[in-house]
Amino acid sequence: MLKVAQAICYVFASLVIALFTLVLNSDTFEPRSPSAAILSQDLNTIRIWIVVTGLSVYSWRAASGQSLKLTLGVLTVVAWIMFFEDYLILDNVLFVAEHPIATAVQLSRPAFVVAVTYVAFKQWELEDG
Amino acid sequence: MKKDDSSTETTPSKEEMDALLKDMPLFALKSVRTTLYKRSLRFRFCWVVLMLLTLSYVMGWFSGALLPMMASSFSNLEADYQLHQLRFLIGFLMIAIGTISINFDRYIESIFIGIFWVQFYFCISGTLRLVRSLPDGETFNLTTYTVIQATILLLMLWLIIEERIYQRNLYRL
Repeated sequence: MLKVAQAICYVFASLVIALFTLVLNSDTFEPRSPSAAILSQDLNTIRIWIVVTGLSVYSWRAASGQSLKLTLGVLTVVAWIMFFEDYLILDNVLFVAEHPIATAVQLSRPAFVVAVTYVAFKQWELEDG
Repeated sequence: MKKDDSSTETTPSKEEMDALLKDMPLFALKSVRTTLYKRSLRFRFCWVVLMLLTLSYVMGWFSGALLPMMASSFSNLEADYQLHQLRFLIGFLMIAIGTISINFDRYIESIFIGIFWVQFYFCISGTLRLVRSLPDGETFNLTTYTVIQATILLLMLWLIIEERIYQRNLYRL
């Protein structure tokens, strides 16, 4: 179960990176207004860095055998907050691309949030137990 | 008959229950105070300043003094205002969680590290939004916002370091 949840997290991170690098830099990105374009650009810039940094720190700590519980805890909380921000507020502002990767990201996001929470709790249990 | 005897033996009276619950540390304010007094003076200073900043923020929010400084005032985007409202709520949830952890004296360092990184995310994205929304030459709002955010982050970092020092000393003893 833990391996499946970790796989979901890796797949989601790869999809997000692919979405930002392949889709949003192309001409298919059409926000509803110039203000919305700036807002989505700002948020996406920050988020892509969070995903890349989080993935790098997690992979590095996992490879070097260091404690992962706090890293995963922080990433889980930030992931939940960004999820709430996007679904409660930014849904009307951000452009929903018709691209298959964008659809895959949107569909897999709830699964990712649940998976990363499970991985964080499991890691906490493993390291404390 | 025997069953009745055992039930009377295991059920505590109201007086006994009151006496047992009286000293329970759950959500009692004296527990926050007890935890704070176990910590260093610097830890207590950081906590009190953070609480004062929160209080002044609430006062600024409800009096409307903060409104001209927010990104939504410049971008005229409803989403910016709603984003601020959501972050305001998350901020209070984080304060509540931090207070509960201090109350129970458990996982203080871990919880405050989590809160620090969430605050860091808010700070970076908020500053970026303000930079992009402000008209040219307008630096007062940006400076004020950045200084307040940096102060909160530094205080939280200091709090985490103090807690780590306390836990290390406790472990040595």
